[in-house]
Amino acid sequence: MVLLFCSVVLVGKSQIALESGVLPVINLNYKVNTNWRLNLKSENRLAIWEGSPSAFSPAYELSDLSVMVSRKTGVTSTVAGGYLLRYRSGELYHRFIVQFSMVRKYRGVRLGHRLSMDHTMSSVERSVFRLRYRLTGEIALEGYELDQKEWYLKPGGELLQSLQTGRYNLEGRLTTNLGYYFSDSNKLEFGVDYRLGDWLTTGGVSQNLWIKFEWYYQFGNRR
Amino acid sequence: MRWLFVFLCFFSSVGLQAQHKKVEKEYPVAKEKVPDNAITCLGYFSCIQSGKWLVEENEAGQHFEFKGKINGHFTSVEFTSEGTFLDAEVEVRLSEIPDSISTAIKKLLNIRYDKIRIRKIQVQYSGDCSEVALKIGQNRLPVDLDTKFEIVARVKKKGVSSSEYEFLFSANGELEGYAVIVSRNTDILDY
Repeated sequence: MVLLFCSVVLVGKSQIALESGVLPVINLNYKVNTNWRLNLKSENRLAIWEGSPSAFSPAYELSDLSVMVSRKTGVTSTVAGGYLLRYRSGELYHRFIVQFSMVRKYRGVRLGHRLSMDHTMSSVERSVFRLRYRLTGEIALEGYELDQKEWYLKPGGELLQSLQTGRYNLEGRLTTNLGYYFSDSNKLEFGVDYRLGDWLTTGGVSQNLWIKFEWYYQFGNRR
Repeated sequence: MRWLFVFLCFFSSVGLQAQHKKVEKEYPVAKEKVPDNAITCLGYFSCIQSGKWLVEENEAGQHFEFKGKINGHFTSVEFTSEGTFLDAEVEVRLSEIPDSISTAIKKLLNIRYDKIRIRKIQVQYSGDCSEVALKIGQNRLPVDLDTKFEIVARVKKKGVSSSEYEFLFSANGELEGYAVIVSRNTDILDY
């Protein structure tokens, strides 16, 4: 709600175009053994408001399909690498990703740090290189431990740096998700994902507000 | 075709079902719902700075638990569903444990593992509620025959990936038991 309020105020005050819509995500994991995992993720963007909150114009925007292979490097750390295929406006984009993530546990809260690098290529745009850092919290809403059949809150922030044909740019993302923990292998989240991009572009910043639905499911050896 | 893809992705989460696994649940409970003898027992504890009452449920039954800061330490006081005192666990730093015991614990862990990183230490007290409350109220936590030490440590052996264990030590620093800690999935924080 805070994010929604901020974006509406920003739009009203500075006339920054706001694109918003829904972002359904399916996140499937397969635990190969103690150390190795596979992640398959499907994400779609359906833009509903373009330009201003009053301009109702639903339109399919893009689909992402990614596969990542990860290996545990410690009790709380993981390295992963993978490939993402994006379909947008009839064109295909190829993205290669490497990431390092680490989870720290505190009383009632888990904090996830993720450092990621990617390289996107396509036949219609020059290559884009990005370096991103994300900090995500997982807060148990009942008691000090997140147990089965309980709700949790997942706030997060991410800073993305990008480089395309020598042009450097920045993007910031803020998310707040409310999740339900059915079990360790089955979680459902919904929330908002606010993105403020093109900070260093002369044309001005862009902003997006997505309503996100995400389902996490794990197959295979669950423990 | 693309709309069908979006549609399938969007609605495929319908029909989610919880897994049939061991269910352990902890949730806050109003003080009024806590048995009187548990409230009376907690009254013996001086210097309660903050905390809340919780119910812990598992297949074995229901327990009441008070978790909070008592005398500068995060403490959990556990009771049966009838309010009978079970034990109290006080979170401490390694430097707060008597040297002789911490040395014995470190020596034992060093023999078993190549790398050790202690994450959490809890002193466990059981027995009479008022006596335990008196012990916890002291500036220097006392150690007697009934005292136990629960230690969570990240350990590593050469050629084996690191794991997190919970060790139980006696008042003399002897290892009484240990169990591997299975961490929850981190998928929601990784992707």
